[in-house]
Amino acid sequence: MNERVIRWPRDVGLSLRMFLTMVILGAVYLGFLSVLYWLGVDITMLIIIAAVMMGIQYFFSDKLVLASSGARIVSPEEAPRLHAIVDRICAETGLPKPRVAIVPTDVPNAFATGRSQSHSVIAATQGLLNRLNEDEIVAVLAHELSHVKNRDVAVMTIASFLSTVAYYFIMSFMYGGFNRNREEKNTGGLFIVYILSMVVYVVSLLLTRLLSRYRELAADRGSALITGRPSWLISALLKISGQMERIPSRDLRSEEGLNQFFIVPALAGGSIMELFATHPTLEKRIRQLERMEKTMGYQ
Amino acid sequence: MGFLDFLKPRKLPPPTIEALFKLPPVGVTMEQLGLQPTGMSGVCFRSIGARDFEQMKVDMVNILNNNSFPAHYEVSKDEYGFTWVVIDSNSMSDGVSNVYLASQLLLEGGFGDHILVAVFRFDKADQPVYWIYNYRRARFYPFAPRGKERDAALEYRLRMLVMEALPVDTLDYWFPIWGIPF
Repeated sequence: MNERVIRWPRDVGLSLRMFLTMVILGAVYLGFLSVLYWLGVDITMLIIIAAVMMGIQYFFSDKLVLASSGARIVSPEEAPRLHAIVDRICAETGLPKPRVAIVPTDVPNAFATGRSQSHSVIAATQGLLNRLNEDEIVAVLAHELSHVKNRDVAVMTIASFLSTVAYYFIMSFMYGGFNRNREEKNTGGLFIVYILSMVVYVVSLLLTRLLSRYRELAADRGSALITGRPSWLISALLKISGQMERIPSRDLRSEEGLNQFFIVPALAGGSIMELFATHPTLEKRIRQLERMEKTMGYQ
Repeated sequence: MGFLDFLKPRKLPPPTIEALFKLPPVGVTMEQLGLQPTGMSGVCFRSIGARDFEQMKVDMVNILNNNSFPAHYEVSKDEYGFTWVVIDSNSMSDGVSNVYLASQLLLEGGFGDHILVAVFRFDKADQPVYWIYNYRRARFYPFAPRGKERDAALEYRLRMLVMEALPVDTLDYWFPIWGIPF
């Protein structure tokens, strides 16, 4: 076991919002099950199926993600720079060293997975390693290792259990598999269960996505606390998000006839999709890091 | 002729100078990011005929020497054939006032089509960070040249810090201006 326990200052507001989200999710979960019970629906089978599916997802999360992303585990000899960075962060945080992988794509990105701290994998894409400088890579890997430290795979697997159950419910209705359990129930009751499952599915999906966004903000905080330099992650996020690429590179004076003023800029703004997004908006993430930078002081 | 030409508006929006005065109040906010005002500012415009230019210089001398914001100034040309009036004022807000007067002179002299940008210099750790005012969009944007690169992350952070108080342009219009003569 690790002797060193690092104490991170807590963001009370963030912790509270996370806690509230989980409480509401739990309440929806219990409410759903009791209504089903009250209607006399036999849900044992469905819950067992969902549990097995989730269990597989949970226990094989590292292998599943590695296989689906095409990531390849790399040795310290193959990727000395990446390993050195991971080593350094692990030494600073007291986390066991995860396996390190590279995804051979040009899209700059990174992820961490694995059911526990000792079964985790951290992966970076080739595009990330090519485009980001050393500081920015450190910040991104610190973000991913914060997910490992916060046990986010376990948290999100448990949190999404409800929406998985509701999802299987809807599916079983659609394929008529439910008829076996119907017995003396009338079709009206079944219809209620069907609508209820849909509502529960959407609501629990919204809540898990909300929770996911909070976990992202928590990992951003973790990265800033590990590196002590929130601005490194800001810079990395800007590069990964493609915002930097919008900034023109031609000198203003070389633009003929001032036509550049009439390029129609891309429409921006919040939308309904934000509710379903797994990640907070770039602005929200940078605002949080900017606040941390203020309290940590500038160099 | 491109086939999308019909999308282009017929006229450029006219240059305006009132929004310049939104810069001084955000000076304090900028200091939070370590930006120190330098009092250096400039107006950049496409060069005009020699006779007009001489007359404009005389008028500029009169205006900049006879107002209540004392300043040194210089006129120079750059490699793109643009003229720079560089104004060294006692403070950033004096600089804004001087730039306003110089711009007004150009607009009233009928050179509105030639005027490009006004530039204000700040320093962060002895390196320049410019706020560029685009007259036709009536908006500002930051420019932090670092050698041959620009520190876009710093620029973006500046934007987030001041965008509620200052009209900051969208990223698509953050055209660099290399070799600013101050």
